[in-house]
Amino acid sequence: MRLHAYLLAADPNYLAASLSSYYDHVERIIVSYDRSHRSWTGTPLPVDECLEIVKEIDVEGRCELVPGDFWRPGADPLDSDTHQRRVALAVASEGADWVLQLDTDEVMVSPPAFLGALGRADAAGATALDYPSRWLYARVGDAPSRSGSRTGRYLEMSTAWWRPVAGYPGPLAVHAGTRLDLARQAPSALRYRVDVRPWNTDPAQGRGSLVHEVVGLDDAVVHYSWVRSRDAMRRKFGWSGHTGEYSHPLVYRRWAWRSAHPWFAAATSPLRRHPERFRVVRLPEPPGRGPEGMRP
Amino acid sequence: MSLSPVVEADPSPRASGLTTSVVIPTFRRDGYVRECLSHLAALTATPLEVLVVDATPEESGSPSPTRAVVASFEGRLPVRYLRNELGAGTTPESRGIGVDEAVGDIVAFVDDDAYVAPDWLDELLAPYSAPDVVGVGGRIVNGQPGETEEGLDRIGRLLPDGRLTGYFAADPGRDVDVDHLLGACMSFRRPALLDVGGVHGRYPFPCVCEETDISLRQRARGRRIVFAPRAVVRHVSAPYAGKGDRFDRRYDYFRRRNHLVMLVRIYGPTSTTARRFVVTVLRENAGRIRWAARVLAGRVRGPRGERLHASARLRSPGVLARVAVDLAGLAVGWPVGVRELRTDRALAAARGEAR
Repeated sequence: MRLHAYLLAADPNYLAASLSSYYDHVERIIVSYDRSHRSWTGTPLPVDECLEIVKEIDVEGRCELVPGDFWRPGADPLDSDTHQRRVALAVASEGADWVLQLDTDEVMVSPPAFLGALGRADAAGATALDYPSRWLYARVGDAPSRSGSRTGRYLEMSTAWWRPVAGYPGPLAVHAGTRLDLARQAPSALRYRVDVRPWNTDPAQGRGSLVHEVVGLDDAVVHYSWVRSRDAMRRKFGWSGHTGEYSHPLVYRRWAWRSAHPWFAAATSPLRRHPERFRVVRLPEPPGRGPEGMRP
Repeated sequence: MSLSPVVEADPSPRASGLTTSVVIPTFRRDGYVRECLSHLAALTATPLEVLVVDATPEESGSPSPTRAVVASFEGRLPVRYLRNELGAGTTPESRGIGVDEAVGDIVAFVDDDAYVAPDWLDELLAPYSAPDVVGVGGRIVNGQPGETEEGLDRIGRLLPDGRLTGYFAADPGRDVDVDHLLGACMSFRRPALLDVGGVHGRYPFPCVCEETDISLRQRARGRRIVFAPRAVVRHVSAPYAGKGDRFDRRYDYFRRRNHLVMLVRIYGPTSTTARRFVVTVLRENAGRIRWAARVLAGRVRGPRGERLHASARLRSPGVLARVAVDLAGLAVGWPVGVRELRTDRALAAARGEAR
């Protein structure tokens, strides 16, 4: 199976951990970025910093820089998000069977589990792999570790009663040539869905949604979505494709408060609705190590 | 009973020299057997042998009409008539009789109401060019609207929650790996069938799951089964020849019972697969009870958002009958599965001693 990948160079926070996690398993990686170093909303992006990180990791020359004009004044940020991904996917599809589409804050913790599922998805005739990711809301401190290795404590999205919930922002691998409809989502693709339990754990998928395969929670992709310093979070809310949804001050204030009071945030989860339910978990670091000053 | 000598096998070039025995289990459907055989006689590649296994009772000396039908094809097909004296509801036993008599490299099963396309055998054998493939099934066309596209992402799966998916009429456009096949059109390498003890019977009533048992035993050993959509049969769904309706409450009961029996027999009574299936059925029925309660409480609206009529609301507890049937199926299925597992093991030991 010829496996390519694309990434959008915009956020340096977990880029090194993310790219390193799958670099050895793909033949070619398309690095897509805006020529004017601006986000979909027009805010400045640290693209040079991202490209520097890519260059450092790309010891075997697999990465290919593909700039484009993805800040389109007046366009809906989510449309520009979709447009950039379509362009990147089209280039990455050349000569590939499958294309990985992990965001730069998503880390493939267990490549053998991911690639095994991808192989089975391909054999089953699927054209998109829905692989579970653990959605992290905040890093809330260090955790004591018995083995001496570093572990961090995080708030992770969960059910009302603190069971794991898998997130599916879109298929993490798609068949070459797949058409993306909204950001990473490809509703017309034939999906092969992996979950962390035999019964669907993602309320967004709909009750009774089919699960083709189960992987352990430790094999799920880790999505350091909102694990940022306060400054980085404010910037992320500005450049994200979901900026209209996030930029409300209340969203930031809630995040900051819950980051400072994680146990209370977890304990009160049964009183809230998805996706505002959390549990406190420990995760090994790295790859979870974030930038300096990220702790709330 | 003898193999007709006049038709020579003509293995297709794509079959790489593999020979095929086609087994047709039947019960009181001689007209369908005639049509089935006439389609097999029109194949572009002739199988090595066609074995019709008839469970139709022959009371007071009157022969089964299927005998005459089979005899009428001698000379046109290498066809043999075999008897299953166990009677109704013993399709797996009929398959087993066919497997015991078969001599081909591949044993292909076709239902008596499934009519093969002329290139069916070529297409069915093609995936066997991969040495790791032990089973191949074909597309079963029922003539329902939209069936070609429906379920493309879930053809022939044993899901992690223990449920099975079908959708064998779907056409994915290429061969795909599956977990199980339908008896209307499935085939296996004969040695692979024999080393799991052949076909396992004792699935009562409409024999739900007996065909799935064959595939899952192969998959449980890590072997590969392929769905080849170009190997087509047209399934005409003959009227059910046994007692009762094919899809009545008894069917629901035996569907649950036999499903759990199958999982216990193949994976073990405390296996993850069997336990997950029990949980899945319990969850489904908890959902039914919740739904009935919501309807009774007037919290469910009609398709146009209208309030349900009182009579419709009062009928909703009727779903509890289905719940009772499901739970009874589970309650009986587990102990029966354990008993059948012991029987399987005893039979396997006896076979080992006989060898």
